[in-house]
Amino acid sequence: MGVSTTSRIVSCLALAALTVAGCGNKADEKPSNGTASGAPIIIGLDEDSTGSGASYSTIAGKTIRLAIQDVNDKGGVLGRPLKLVVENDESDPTKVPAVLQKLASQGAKALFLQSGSAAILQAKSTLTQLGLPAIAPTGVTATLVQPPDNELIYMLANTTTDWAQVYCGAFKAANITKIGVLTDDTTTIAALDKALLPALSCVQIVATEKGAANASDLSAQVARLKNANPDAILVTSVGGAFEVLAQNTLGSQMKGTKRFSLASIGNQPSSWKLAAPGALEGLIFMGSINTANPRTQELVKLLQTKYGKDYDITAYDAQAWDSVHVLKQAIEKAGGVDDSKKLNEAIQSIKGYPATFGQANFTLSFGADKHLGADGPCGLSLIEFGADNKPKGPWATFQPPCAK
Amino acid sequence: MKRIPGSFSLLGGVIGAVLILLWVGADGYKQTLVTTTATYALIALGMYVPYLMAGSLSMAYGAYAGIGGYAVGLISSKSGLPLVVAWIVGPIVAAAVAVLLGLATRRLSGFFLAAVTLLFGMAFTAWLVDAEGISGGSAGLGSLRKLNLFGWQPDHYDVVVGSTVVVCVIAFLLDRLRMSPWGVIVRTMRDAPRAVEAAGVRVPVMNLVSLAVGAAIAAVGGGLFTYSAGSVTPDTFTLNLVFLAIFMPLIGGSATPWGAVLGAVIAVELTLNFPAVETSGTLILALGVLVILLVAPQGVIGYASRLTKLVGGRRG
Amino acid sequence: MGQLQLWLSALEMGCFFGLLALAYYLVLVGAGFFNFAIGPYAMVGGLCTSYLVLYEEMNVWAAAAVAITAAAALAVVTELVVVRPVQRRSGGGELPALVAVAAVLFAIQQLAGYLFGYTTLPGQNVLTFEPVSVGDTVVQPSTLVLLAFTVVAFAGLAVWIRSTRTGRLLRAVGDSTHAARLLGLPVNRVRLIAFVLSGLLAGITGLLFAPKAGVSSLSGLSWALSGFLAMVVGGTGSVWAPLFGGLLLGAVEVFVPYYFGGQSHVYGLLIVALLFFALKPSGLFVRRVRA
Repeated sequence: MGVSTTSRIVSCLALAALTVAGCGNKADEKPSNGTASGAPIIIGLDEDSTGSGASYSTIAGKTIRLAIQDVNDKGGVLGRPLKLVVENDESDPTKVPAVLQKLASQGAKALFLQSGSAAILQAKSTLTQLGLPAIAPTGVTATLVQPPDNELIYMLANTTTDWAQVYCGAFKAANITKIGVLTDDTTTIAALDKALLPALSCVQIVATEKGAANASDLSAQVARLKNANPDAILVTSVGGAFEVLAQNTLGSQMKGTKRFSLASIGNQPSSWKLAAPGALEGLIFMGSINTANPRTQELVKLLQTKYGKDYDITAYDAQAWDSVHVLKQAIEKAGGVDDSKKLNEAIQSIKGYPATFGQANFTLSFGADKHLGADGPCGLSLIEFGADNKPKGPWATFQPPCAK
Repeated sequence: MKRIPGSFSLLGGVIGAVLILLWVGADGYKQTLVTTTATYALIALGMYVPYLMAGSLSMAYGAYAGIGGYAVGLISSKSGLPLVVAWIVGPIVAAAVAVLLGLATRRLSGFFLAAVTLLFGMAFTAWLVDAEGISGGSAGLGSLRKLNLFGWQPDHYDVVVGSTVVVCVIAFLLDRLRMSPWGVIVRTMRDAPRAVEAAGVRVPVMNLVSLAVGAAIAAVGGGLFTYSAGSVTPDTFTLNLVFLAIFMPLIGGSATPWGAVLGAVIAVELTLNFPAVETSGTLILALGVLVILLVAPQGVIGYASRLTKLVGGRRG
Repeated sequence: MGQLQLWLSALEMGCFFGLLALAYYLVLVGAGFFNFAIGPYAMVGGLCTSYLVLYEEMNVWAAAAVAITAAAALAVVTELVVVRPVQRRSGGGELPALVAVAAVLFAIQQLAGYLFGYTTLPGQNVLTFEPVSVGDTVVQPSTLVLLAFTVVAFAGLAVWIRSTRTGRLLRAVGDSTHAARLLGLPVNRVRLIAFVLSGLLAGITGLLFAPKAGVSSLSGLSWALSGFLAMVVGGTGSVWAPLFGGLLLGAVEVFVPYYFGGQSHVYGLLIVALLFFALKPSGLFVRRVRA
């Protein structure tokens, strides 16, 4: 073992690094111009593709690309193709300002923010500096679109305020008066809990337990919940391993207690496989996909031709799709993208856009004070998991009223 | 031939800074790259004193930078004091926390110290989320006031120039410090603590001082980032950043503080501004650090100075 | 009622931490070095298996074999390419090796994400049988396999260290590398064996624990920390000390949140670490008499 061996191994390492660098772009298939001609309209996408938010942000990122391709194939926007520029912030807030600036310097006139929520929160003030409008397609944290620095940021889906209404309706219908809450320790969920839990005044919250997002064991938290003797459990988490571990533990230790969850578990088909057999059965989550919605059906068709018959559509897909189309409408209304102030006003002038998620008559509207698209709780529906750990369909006991 | 020690490196640093500022110009993206680089460089410089001089690796630097950031956020949103005060209060608080943590861990070194400080950083983030009333909870603090120095309001470019100057000044001062009698003692302490102790120097006190200085510098960086980005959240300064800050001096060269600065420039270039690897800049960086550790332990500056010595034909 | 379940959880977590601590122990005893990359080895063991089974449709046993080999190979690379040259250059200094191992940890984590994806993958069960009921709680097969492996691994290593030549050499080399080298003992070979064994052990441990909560490329760091804490708590006095440390830490992880709730587990870990490192940095079990 001499110097030559060491240097040989080192050069192998260097070679490996170069190989990785060489094919680093493999996942990034950029949409082509399709049938549209003319100067491209550049849209920026801040996507976490390698960091802690990668597991969920790439789901919507993929559909954003698909939607842009579809728009371009159908003649583009104002006859011009949309061109996507992508940067990765690895959900690291210290990288966000530079990433957004980089997108802007590449000519992006509007942005999609598809990253961890701490990173998007950090992005708000940079957006104000840049003066560019942005949509967070899958954001649900209400603080994102609240002051400060909320003039240019938009979200589509219902947030926690509507959720509280729906949960309360559900708890009433199922005769639930005491609930226990199991929550993860991410800042995303801390922000969400802060908005959601006080709004659940219809029930008594008898216990709130917190576990680490990367926890390997939650039996202590679940045992505490059990001691508080609630009628039902609400799990609030960013989804992924924590949610599944929580459901596995609840399923075995608190069998028979009704379980509710947020939207994330329903949007992460890859997480369903993590669950122990039957562990998700009876779990009710805040879904947004309603297969009776004709636009949802069309999107399903498109996704299945692209990814195969087994593709499970999620709200992330639909929200990514709608984000692109909301932006398309705004660009058409503004007559171009050169004036970002006008583009921002054009987004705010969109009313009654029929959404691809939610019930058939669910719409999105924006305004100067309404940075959250959802019109009423029709975008939500409570979905129940079946014994095969897959969503089985709407929960029979209660559905949000949709009077419109 | 008599000259002020460290001035040669300073000259190099200043030339580099001027070139960077010329390259930046009015481009918003490049300006942000510079402020991000300055933040990384300040955190790496903060680690330099305890880690490369005194030889103890603390990983609580995310917390120290966070204290600096929250100082800016809190002074801006909860007091009427001029914002500059944040860069005085923040570093002092960070230094005080570092001393307390240093006292609690005074018997630890190496792996033990790294593990405890890592856990401290995690607990600090958890506390920021819990302490809603002070820290604004998970949403953090935003909408900061503009800096106002005696009626002069610096614009974004001034902040960029200012941050480069601060980095250069701190790197220069640390370089001087490294060569001062104090620095020599601290560096000897790293290699032969017993000998230094026997010579009548209080090693634990020296250690605490170096930790405090480092934390204060990192807090300046945290404050700078918070000011230029406009907000701070509990997750702003992540563990990833701490790892990067450990590697930066290795990349640049650990013999002088300027190595940390150069390392920060390279790290930001690789992770943010390198077109070929938009998907995995961090991976390249990690593998690159390993390669540098093995074949070029002196880093870029080490090789450059060896080259100049070779050319100049004298030994330093 | 629930208490039994809590004890079971504490036992399972304890065995997991104990096995990781044992992997630390091997490298510490054989090479005098805390190998923080143990956590990432375990992560590779779990993640690589799941990836091969789910995406390459490999048989579980074949995938497990590949993954464990990969973990052991990583351990070999760590020793030969990183730790040995760095230690040779730096003499006795601890810091360069610590930084090198931090770089290894970071690199493995990033590389695993790049190769196997950044999502959490479900762990694979190597053996599937009906869950066993104990009282009113159910024990999953994966838990039983992990417990059985813990017993086998500790007993096996205890016997190996005590009664084989290589095992005894391991301790001799770890006690004084310098003296061992002077005596002409095969220091490098013994160190390498320690690394390989710890890599194998970590790989299997990660693979067996993964069914509990899944495994992602970022799992490595927290596993590395837990294993390290368990090792420090237990000490190096006996092969069984890491298991004791692991069980104690497992109990802390389960019962602190049970009695205090909230985020107490984060603060709890910090306090345990501070107390132990400050008061008993050599752990609970210390060898008092040198053989």
